[in-house]
Amino acid sequence: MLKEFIDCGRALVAVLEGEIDQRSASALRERIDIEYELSRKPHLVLDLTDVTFMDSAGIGLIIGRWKNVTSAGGKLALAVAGHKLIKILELGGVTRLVKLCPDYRRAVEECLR
Amino acid sequence: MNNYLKTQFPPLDINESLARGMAAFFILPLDPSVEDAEDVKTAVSEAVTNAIIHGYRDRSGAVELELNLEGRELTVTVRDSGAGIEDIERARTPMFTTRPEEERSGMGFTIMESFMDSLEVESAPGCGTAVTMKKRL
Repeated sequence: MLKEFIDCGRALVAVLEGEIDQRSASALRERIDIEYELSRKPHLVLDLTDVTFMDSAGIGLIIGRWKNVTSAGGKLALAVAGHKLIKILELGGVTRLVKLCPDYRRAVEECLR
Repeated sequence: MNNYLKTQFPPLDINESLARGMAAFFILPLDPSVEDAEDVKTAVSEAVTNAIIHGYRDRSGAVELELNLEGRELTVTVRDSGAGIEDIERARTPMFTTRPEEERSGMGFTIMESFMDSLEVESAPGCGTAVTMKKRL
């Protein structure tokens, strides 16, 4: 589920919460893409610190946003707390493409680097 | 401890969370580690999503979830009577997806394989699919 969007200068932060599966991923994809386009910001941060569960639908969601953002010349970074999601992010190849940060503020700094 | 649970539900996406929730509650008396519980939930979610999305697509039918516990060995079977898989080996290849336009990662079987101790897939076109996974908790 989408909790909120945060305006962080040249980066848009999408704060997600709860469970990301096939059902929730399609709705998230649509809302994030619309907001990212309207914001006219180059960078996107997905804050996953309040995400309690994620399966391969979440991997598809992240890699899809990575493709969109990088093709528009921006950077994508993730905020991930603890080890819960790390295993699936590594297996899905996300950690090879995207920087993982402990909170959204550091993820924004990473985008601006 | 030996126990089993056999259940059926329609191929609706709201039932993905129901299925993984049932699996999590089923193994709870064994007091599994947080990681093992997450692994089981994720693997069940992948198998049930496959049955709904690829097995039935938008057609009606029933997804069967069977959980069996013998001591600390969990066996999960997810069965559908849907489309079936033409080439199982190809379907199990990491990043392979028949529907790239929907941003599917093609990691479903890879996740089931990695998060559980074993994975068996039985399927034939038009005859449905049965996925059996085992994990020692």
